[in-house]
Amino acid sequence: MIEAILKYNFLQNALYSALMASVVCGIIGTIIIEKNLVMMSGGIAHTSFGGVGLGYYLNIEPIFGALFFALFSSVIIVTIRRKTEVHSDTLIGIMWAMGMAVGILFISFMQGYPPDMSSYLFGDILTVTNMDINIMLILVVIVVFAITSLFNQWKSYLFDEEFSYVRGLNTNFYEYFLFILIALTVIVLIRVTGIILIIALLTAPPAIARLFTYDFKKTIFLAIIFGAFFSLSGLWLSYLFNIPSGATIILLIGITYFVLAFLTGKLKRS
Amino acid sequence: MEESVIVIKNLNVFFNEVPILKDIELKVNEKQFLAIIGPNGGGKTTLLKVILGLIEPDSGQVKIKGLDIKEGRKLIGYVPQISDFDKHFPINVKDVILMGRISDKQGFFHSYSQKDINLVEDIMKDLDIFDFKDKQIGRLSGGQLQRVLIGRALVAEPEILLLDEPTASLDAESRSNIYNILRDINDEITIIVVTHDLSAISSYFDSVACLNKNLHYHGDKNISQEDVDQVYGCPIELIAHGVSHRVLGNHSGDEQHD
Ligand SMILES: Nc1ncnc2c1ncn2[C@@H]1O[C@H](COP(=O)(O)OP(=O)(O)OP(=O)(O)O)[C@@H](O)[C@H]1O
Ligand SMILES: [Mg+2]
Repeated sequence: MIEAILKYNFLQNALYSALMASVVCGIIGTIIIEKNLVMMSGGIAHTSFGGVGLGYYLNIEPIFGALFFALFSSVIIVTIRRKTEVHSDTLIGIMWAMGMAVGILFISFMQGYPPDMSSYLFGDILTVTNMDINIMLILVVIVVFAITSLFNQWKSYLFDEEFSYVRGLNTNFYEYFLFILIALTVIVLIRVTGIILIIALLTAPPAIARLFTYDFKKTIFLAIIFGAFFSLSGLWLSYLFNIPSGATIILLIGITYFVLAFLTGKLKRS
Repeated sequence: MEESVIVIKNLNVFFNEVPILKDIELKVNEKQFLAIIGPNGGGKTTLLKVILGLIEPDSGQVKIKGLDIKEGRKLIGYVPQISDFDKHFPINVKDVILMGRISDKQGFFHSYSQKDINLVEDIMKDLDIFDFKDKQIGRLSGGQLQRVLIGRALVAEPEILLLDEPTASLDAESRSNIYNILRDINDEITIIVVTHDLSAISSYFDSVACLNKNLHYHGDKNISQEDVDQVYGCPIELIAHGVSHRVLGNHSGDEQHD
């Protein structure tokens, strides 16, 4: 496969995107697990499908439409969550399905043959373009810089929002910023695993990491390493057997999680 | 008269049009050690959160050392109710206490200074939690976690300390351990404690307020049996173990205090 990677641009792009996806998944995945925002992130991902449809309809790059929808929905979700007493779950459920519905409507408005949406729904890492790579790189740099440059403040905010507020941190700012980072992460992941499978890639690596450490920073690093390992092996398997990359990566990492959780659970008790 | 560090005037808080706090008037003096008692749902946590700026009051005024809450809250150390607290977060004792050093002053790429670390270690030793500084917080006992939260509040070097039920679900020994720690700290700073622990009042506190929507408070340890009956809605025995008769003073003409 090494030879093939050196030879084919599409394989290089697949490799880069898998690595970049692992980095944001390790960081943002760890955060959303600790903040119980997993379903919220799933909601933002699915809402972005509306943007994919819009992109196709207006004949602009669908990923830009998705980015716009993801950012928009994440800001709406935070705002509604702060201003009203609507239960988050309810809110997510509605946005989730509405986003998908908007996407389907836009596609149906299109003249002629509908485009193949499956690479956005299920991901296709082997068709990642140079432009996708550039967009992903910009988003990954933003996410990594945002978290590392304010790491102690983020940690305090994530651990105890009220206490951080009393200490004078602008917790409003961190909340909005966090949701924007989740939206950016979703966009990085769309081409790798697809909208439908994003949640698994966000949650499984940090969940595996949590089996081995009780430290926030270590959880992030381990999650990045696990994410990279499984997405690269998934990529390799999908290339080898010519099977869908997103699904292969997700199954690999999901099964590993359950096996390890079972084993470590057993080991701890005995 | 000593200087008042917290002054609350005519405070009202409603949740969905239901009054939670009504016409609260409170003055807390420097180095005071005030207990706030009252039934579940009486609004004790709400009152603390108003003082901390976590809940916006519907009317009234709160001053902390003459400052508005926005500035004044930075002078306060806060120890939240343990039950409202995420114990699963992957973080150890030392890192939790270090967080007390975070403030709005730090910029990008902040790291804790040696001075921060020394202070944290000193306070951990004072509170007798230095031995498990590397333990994940979810693995502490209730009394240990409580001391960790007190430590986090103290490293901020506050002038006022607010504690929300710091002795709930602790055994008698841990309870008196916490109160003794607080009494020592009280030499330096003003302390307000929300508690259901009536028996501790006479032996540790210098004043007590009763809260159930309305606040019954005379600036000292005297609360009448009527106050308590009214606040709890049913007669409650204040003659708990070790309570001096001063607390029971059934002074006349006190009903009109608010
Ligand atoms: N966010 C909220 N929305 C609506 N009502 C609330 C909210 N928070 C508290 N309440 C209500 O306000 C009242 C006072 O609650 P608070 O938590 O201040 O009581 P407390 O005195 O601290 O009780 P406890 O002893 O159980 O801790 C309760 O009736 C509660 O139901
Ligand atoms: Mg309470």
